[in-house]
Amino acid sequence: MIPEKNRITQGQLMFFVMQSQVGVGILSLPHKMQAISKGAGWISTLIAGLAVQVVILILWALCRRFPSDTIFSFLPKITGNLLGNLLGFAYIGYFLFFTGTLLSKFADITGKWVLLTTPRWALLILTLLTCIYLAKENVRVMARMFVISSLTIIVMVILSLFGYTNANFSYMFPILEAGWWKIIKGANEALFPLVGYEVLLVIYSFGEGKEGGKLKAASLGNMVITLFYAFEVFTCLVIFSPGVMPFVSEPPLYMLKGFSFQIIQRIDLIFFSLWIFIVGTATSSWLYMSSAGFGHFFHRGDHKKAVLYAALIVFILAMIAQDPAITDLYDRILKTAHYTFAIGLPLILLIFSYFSGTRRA
Amino acid sequence: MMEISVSLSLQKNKEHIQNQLFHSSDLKWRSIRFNQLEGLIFFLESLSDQQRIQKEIIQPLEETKVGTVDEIIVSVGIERISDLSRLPQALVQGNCVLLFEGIEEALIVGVAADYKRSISEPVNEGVVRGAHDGFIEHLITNLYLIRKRIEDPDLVVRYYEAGEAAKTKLALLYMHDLVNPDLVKEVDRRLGSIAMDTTISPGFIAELIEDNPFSLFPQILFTERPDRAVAHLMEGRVVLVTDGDPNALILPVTFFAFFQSPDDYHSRWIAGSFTRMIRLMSFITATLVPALYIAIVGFHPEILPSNLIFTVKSSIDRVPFPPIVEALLMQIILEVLREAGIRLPSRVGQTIGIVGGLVIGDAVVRAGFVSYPMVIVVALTAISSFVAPSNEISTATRILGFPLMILSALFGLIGITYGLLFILIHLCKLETFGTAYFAPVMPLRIKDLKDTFVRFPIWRLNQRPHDPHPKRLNQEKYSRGWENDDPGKE
Repeated sequence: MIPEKNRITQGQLMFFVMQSQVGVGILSLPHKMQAISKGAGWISTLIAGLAVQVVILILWALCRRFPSDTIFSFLPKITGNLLGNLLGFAYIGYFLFFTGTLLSKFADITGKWVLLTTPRWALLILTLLTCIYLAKENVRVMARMFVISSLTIIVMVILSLFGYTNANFSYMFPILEAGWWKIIKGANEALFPLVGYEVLLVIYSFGEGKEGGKLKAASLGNMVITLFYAFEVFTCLVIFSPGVMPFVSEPPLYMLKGFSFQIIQRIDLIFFSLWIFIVGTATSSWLYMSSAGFGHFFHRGDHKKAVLYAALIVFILAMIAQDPAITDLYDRILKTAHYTFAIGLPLILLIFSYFSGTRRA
Repeated sequence: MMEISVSLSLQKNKEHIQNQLFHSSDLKWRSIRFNQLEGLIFFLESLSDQQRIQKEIIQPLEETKVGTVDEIIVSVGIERISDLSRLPQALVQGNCVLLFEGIEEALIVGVAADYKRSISEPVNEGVVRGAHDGFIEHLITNLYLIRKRIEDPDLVVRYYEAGEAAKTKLALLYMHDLVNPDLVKEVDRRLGSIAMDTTISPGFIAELIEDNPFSLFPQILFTERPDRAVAHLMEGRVVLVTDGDPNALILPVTFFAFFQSPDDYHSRWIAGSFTRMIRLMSFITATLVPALYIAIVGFHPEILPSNLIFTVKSSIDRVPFPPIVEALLMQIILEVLREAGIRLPSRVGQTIGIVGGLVIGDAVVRAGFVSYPMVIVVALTAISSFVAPSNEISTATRILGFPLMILSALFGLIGITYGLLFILIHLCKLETFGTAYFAPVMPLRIKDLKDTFVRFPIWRLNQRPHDPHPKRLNQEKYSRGWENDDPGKE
């Protein structure tokens, strides 16, 4: 089913999952965590990572039943043609909607931090052009790119380490101030920035090797990102006092802004550039997911032609979401969609296919 | 072409040959008698070595008078043919043609003249240490230079002819026990499909067979150095040598091959690694520094420490243009100077240096057209771009700087980030002859990084690079065997 030159190794699969997961949320996550679970924000993040791990297990169990299919081709096999194709389109919609939200958040933050006067459309077009260029390639080329762009995560961690010169560990205490219920609620919130593991539904069949290895790869990818997020949250929690945090919407950037080297005064700008890098790769990955769907339905599996109009839809979605009211609406829709498409539906599909005994076919 | 058999009449044959060559003035013939038969020797005096004709054909024939012609002529290359239409082609390749009255066969004898320059060091690929011989315009000599270095029956040479009208002779070289057979097949297929009247230079061949002709990055390595060609052959790559040009083509190569120099391997490994890193750093400097400068000055001056900002700002404030205009202006002036420098004879070249460097560089600042920091930035860029040991990559580097400058003028640091992202995506897209261009970084192969950014000691390079998919990956097990000898033994 999947041509030889499209296959990716398990290592590449891991980076694929990583780069799809790490996205726009990292900058605002510490702020949100602090607001809900106070000093235990990092614990919430870890719990969220654990929850994601369970979801990955579900997705994996579902995908392994159809080792040579993407979600768009195995949906009809489980639920029948009509419903399956409808669901396939729903998934495309979800992927597109997520990409649009991601981009609009990205444009908001970039407009606020660096390019105050640059028009939103120019920024979006610049981003989308780059992402189209990557997303129209085959999975192998994308995976290569993702492996190397993961270096940015290491550099981001190193840059954040500089923050510890101003650390005050007492800000964290008492850790369990918010109580376990709030911590779990925080974890629920942290689930959202970790979204991206859905990519498994599309690229699982491209991976080489045994099922177990692929599960390991996906889990490892999720673990790395969870740890990275938890680390950033932790760092911000010990640097900003609980009193300041509510006023800081992007703590990692503020933290670095206050810090400077002899030659470079604004480390936050470097951090920001790296962040753009990973947002770019994440967007490409999401764009690929939706255009793979379009490709399946309209272009006989060739996603290249679909990338362009998928990007156009994303552009329109991101342009609409300028008003805070609309952004909030987007967020709410997306949360429901996330529970439905990433957790609920796969679980139902898994149970369904388990009992009806559908397999590869 | 239709086959025409050699006629019994000598006169008819002669007329045919003359007509086929349109009575070209350099077509000469000489009559000869052998076995009591009238004969004629045809040759092009411009291409044939007349002394050899005299010594190897005429003299022996005159002396013996009777016998078998093949046995008497002492030349190495003799061919008997009966197709008259093939004779003109043989003549324009420098052979001479022997015809006898009443015999329906022609003899083609190879007596081509060899005029070639002597082997000398290539001017644009100099090294401090190492071999100082270089390829020349003569195919056989070039093959000799390679064969001499690899005295191994596994080295295979395959001849090709490119061009329909003016045929260029090509030689494809590879190590039979190392090279990936699919690669040879693919190169063979592409060379075979070249349909062009003339292929003037190896650049033509490269452009006709490379995978991504629209990419800015060179995908085939040109070299005039036999040692470089040999090193790549031993890694399982393929070398193409053309007649009439001192440049050999090496393929498939990765991005990093353009930054390797034989010097890296002739000096000690620490020094070699150091210079290699300097080269790669220069690549980054040459592409990025002008863009970074524009972004910092135009968008984020707060990145610089405050006292530096004042210095830079005071210089910039006198300049009426935005930084991007300054930068483009200076870069283009620099390119003009470079181009002028190549064309001029070396004595006038110095004048260009003075006019360009001193007059323009200094006056342009004093007149207030360009700021001092910009002159520094552009000079730094220029010097860095010339560090690369391959001319192709150095040109690519400088061109790459322009889109980045424009992006940075529009979007600042963000623009540069996108530019870099775009370049990286492009690099990991590129594949040449089934090899990833940006290997071993994308796809990542940690083992091969030993000879990429740095050069590990040679005794640690026990494996060939993986990118050309050689048949045998291992080169040797342990090269410093003497270390295992027991020192206590008498």
